[in-house]
Amino acid sequence: MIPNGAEVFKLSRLSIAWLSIIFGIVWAVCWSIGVGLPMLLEGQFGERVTLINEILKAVTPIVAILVFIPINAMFMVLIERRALAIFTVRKGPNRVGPDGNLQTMADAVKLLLKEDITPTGADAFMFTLAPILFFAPSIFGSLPLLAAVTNNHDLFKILNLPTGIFYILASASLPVVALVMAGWSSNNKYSLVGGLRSAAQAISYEIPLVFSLITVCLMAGTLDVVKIAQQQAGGILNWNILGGGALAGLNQFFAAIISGQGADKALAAFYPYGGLSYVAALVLVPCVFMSFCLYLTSACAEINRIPFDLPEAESELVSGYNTEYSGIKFAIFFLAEFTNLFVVASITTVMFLGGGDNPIPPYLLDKFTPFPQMIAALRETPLVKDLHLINPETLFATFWVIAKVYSLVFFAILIRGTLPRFRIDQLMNFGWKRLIPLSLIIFVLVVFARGFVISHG
Amino acid sequence: MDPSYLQLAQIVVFVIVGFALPALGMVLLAWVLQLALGYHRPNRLKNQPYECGMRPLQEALVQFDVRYYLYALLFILFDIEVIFIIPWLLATDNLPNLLLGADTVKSMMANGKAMELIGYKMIGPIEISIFLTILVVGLVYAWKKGALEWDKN
Repeated sequence: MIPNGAEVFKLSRLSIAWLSIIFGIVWAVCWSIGVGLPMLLEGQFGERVTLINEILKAVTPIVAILVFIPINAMFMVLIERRALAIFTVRKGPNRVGPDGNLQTMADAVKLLLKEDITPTGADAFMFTLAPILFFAPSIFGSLPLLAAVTNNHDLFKILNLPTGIFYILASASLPVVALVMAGWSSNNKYSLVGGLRSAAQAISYEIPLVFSLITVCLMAGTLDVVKIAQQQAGGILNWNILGGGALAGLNQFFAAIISGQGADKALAAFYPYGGLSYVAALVLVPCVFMSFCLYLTSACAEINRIPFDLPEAESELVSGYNTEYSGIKFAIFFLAEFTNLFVVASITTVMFLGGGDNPIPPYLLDKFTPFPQMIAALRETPLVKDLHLINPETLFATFWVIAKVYSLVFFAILIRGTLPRFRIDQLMNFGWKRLIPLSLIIFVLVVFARGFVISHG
Repeated sequence: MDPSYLQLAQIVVFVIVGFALPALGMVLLAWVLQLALGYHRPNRLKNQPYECGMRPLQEALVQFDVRYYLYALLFILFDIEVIFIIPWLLATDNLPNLLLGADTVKSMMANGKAMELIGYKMIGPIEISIFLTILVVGLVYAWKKGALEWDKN
């Protein structure tokens, strides 16, 4: 018997409903602007509208983000409140809408209509700039990721950058400036302490974060997020979480066994140094898994999630850096926090969990399930062939990306419901004396071990 | 055109879009919607900075501890280190090819002479570990000196 079973049932029901609404809306917007409208214009005016069509296609991702971010944040706040209610065995939101499922919409309307107060003595310009500066990196930093999570879809291809991870890391370090700015300009002691704490915390946890991602880039041999996501295709053994591709040879070996030829050659091609190679693979698997854990921990600290939410510790600092904020400016801070959580979950999905890859390897999937035939049949239907309503190649990839990203979001909520908040000295000690040495050790081990294994990269 | 300039242009467009969306959203919602439907009647008491209901005692911009500065200084070291590691990780796989020639490396791998390549493959890792060692010595020094102690008592 599950305690609070009614709330668990409500959570699953609301997740399915909200997810289908969110991605239905996003899909409809993307299709109508990026595919439907250009097709209609071309049918009407022929060659003359090529430029307009190109512009429409380039604008599609931006419109998609604009639509996606607010409704997604509302959904995430809702599942967070519902899930916390499950963990603490009480009732979740149950007033607005069916089962309280429209609660966050009501909250959003309330925040937009609330009075916007600028405290006396505050630096009005910086006070207004801070929420924008906090929100902007979570948009422009996640644009290259969008190409990776949509599996390099035609409409999102232009967003890809060859220096993807470097750019993402650079923009991920910007929000801290905004937090210090918000704390400083509010003319409030709580805000100032919150802003300073966020600076100290962000710079301490950025080092393990960067090292854990660099470890994966080293195994992949590239910084391009789309390439990293595509390299991992081919089942769970190819994913970076399991040795960063060190088990790709094993995967190939199993594929050869299933197909019945070349099993001995497969291992030799990927592990050319015999015993040394196997030892290296055995070192790589736990190392890369540790860097996955390091990434989750330090990303939690970077985006100020519990147990690392020192900058807004409500029992000590009222609300930290956003004490003086109200109305729309507070709403933007709030929106950005949840968007950051989503971005972190997407980075983890792309870098460690194989992006849109199916955990079951294709040599099993093609042989024992009817999915390949289903996709082939789907490609022939008029909806796909003439209207391009869906892309059959990325249909399952989209499903897996959504499943992985929201599982990670749920995991973050689970952590929030489980762990108490750190004290500031514990936080700094944990960062500098545990995580940074650990990340350096992992990095050095991976640097040496990867020479002995041929990974998928 | 040089692809790196294209990339730079792309980043500039990204950053402009990134700033434009929240800024426009805030301007539209905050000023237009607020003026139309909202409520804006500031007064002296309402605008007072919050300090648990009391009048604020002194200036809010108080002095803060020098410890923050120490951590920031150490952070700069490590952050610059990362910037040096990234070009290394993109170039390191190419090192045996540069030293021996790409064709030789390929034929050695194909002919089962991979063992002879190990020496060449380890040059990059050894170089970066020397680089990391210097920084680790710095970290150990800071640790021993007590720069990483938040609570001295």
